[in-house]
Amino acid sequence: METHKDVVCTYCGCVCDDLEIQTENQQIIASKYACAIANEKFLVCRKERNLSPLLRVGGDLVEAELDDTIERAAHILAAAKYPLLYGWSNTSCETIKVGLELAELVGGLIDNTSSVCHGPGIEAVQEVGEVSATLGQVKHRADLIIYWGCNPGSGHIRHMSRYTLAQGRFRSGRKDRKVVVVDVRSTPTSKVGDEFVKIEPGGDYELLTALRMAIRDEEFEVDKVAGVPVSKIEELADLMANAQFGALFFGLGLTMSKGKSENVTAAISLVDDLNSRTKFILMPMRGHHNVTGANKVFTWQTGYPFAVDFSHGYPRYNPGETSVVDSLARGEPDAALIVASDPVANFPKPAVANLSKIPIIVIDPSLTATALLADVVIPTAFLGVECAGTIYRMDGVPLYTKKIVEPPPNCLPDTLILQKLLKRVKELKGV
Amino acid sequence: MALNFWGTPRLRLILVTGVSVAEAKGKEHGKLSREYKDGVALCEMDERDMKALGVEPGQNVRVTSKYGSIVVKVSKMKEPNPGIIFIPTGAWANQLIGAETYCSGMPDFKGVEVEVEAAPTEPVLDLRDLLKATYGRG
Ligand code: SF4
Repeated sequence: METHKDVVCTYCGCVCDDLEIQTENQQIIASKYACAIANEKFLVCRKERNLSPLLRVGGDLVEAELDDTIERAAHILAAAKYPLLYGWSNTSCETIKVGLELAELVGGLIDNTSSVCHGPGIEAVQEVGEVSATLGQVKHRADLIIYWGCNPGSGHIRHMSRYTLAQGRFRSGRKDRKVVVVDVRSTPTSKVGDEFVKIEPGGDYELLTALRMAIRDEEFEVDKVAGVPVSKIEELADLMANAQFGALFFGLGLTMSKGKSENVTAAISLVDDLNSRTKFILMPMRGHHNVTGANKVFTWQTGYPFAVDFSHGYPRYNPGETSVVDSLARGEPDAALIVASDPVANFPKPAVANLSKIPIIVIDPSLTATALLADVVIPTAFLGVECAGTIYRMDGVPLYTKKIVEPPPNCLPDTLILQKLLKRVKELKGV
Repeated sequence: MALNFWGTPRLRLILVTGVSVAEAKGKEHGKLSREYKDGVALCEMDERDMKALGVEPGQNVRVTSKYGSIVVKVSKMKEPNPGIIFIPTGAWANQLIGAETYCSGMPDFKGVEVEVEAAPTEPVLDLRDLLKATYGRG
């Protein structure tokens, strides 16, 4: 039996780097410090998976040689006029880099999952900037934690115990901190908070604006805003202005509801106002373990964090136009390469309906809903379990994941698959 | 409360989609697994709304938005949230979501107006059957 220490978890954006994983004969047999989801991932993910490359022949997916799947994928991409290259948030920065080179080569549209996740938050940051910090600073200094439109109790299970409620250098744990939860529904997180502020669905922008008014001591002409009594808003504003170090964590409740990027702009402006009174930061609760890295690598390589269109020969970025759901809904892409993501399960029906009409190549360690509709399926090694690579935590801190066990023979790391694919597309295009 | 053409109740509610622990755990068993379907093809509902519809946990309901309609299993929401249903992110929930993004790139995955009615005779489709029925492939 072997114990692997300081294992980095490749599930959610918390990227906990303190896990202990026990292996025996190349099998994972136990985990320590992992949350319920991570435990399931490490112990179960390798058990139920597709181990063979697949090609669609007639109407069915049949087992094939790896080289043949790469060949067919290369032909699909080389022949396409406007291929979509989508996913990239559950894989390493090294893989994303190859994907971007491929997107430029084929003149396609490359987008990552932040397009349907924290994309609007990124658009807001581009408009008005942001005040941020590392999770380490929050752990050591924050005395007020606000979770707005997010539910770490279900989505980021160790966020509280590791970063916001843990004992820090200047805070002695839970009793030294106030926790406020703002949401449209009560959740496991709202039960942990000292205060739960329940707002009407779609009322985030109004409440954020009302809080800004309260902080400036402006008068209200109504009794309630977004279903929250003005007295409560004033109480909350006092709490925020009197904190020594406040941290506002926001989730998809802000970015997926009415107002979208404007909600985040309002949250940033609120934090901005608070910084003239005290120290306050805000941070998106990023979902996938490397969605932050996807934004970083996209930005280094193209200048833009997601939704990058190479059809003109240079990168263009215009969310709403060059974003994956919009482009699919308009039926523009004529082929799709999906890497480490499952748009068929995660996109609205009209977008999936158009995706299902074009040739799809799936490169993913698991058999996804998208793979069921695909023409080419290439299984890969699980990052952080069967291969190593760099990922970014939600606060922008890069961590290097480890290889704990050997991958099955046909499951190469996706970086290698992408490199082979890129090489072959170059040959086909005579580059 | 509105009635459908059978004369049974039809409730107007607000749909919120998102991740859940069961959905996340189910994913690790694979998208074709029972664990995944059990964790995702369901609709969490407040006890009072369940009573108004006359449904019990484990029974099926049909949820309809202006974009589509889907049958899922009811489960009781742990926290009281009358007027709101929660369906975990997945192919079932996304039958109800439109592709309009209002120039943001992001569709409305939360805060969608839906109607919910009991569907005692309709089955919850497996992922493969759902994909075949909706997209003609799978
Ligand atoms: S909180 Fe997230 S990163 Fe940490 S162990 Fe759980 S799934 Fe992994």
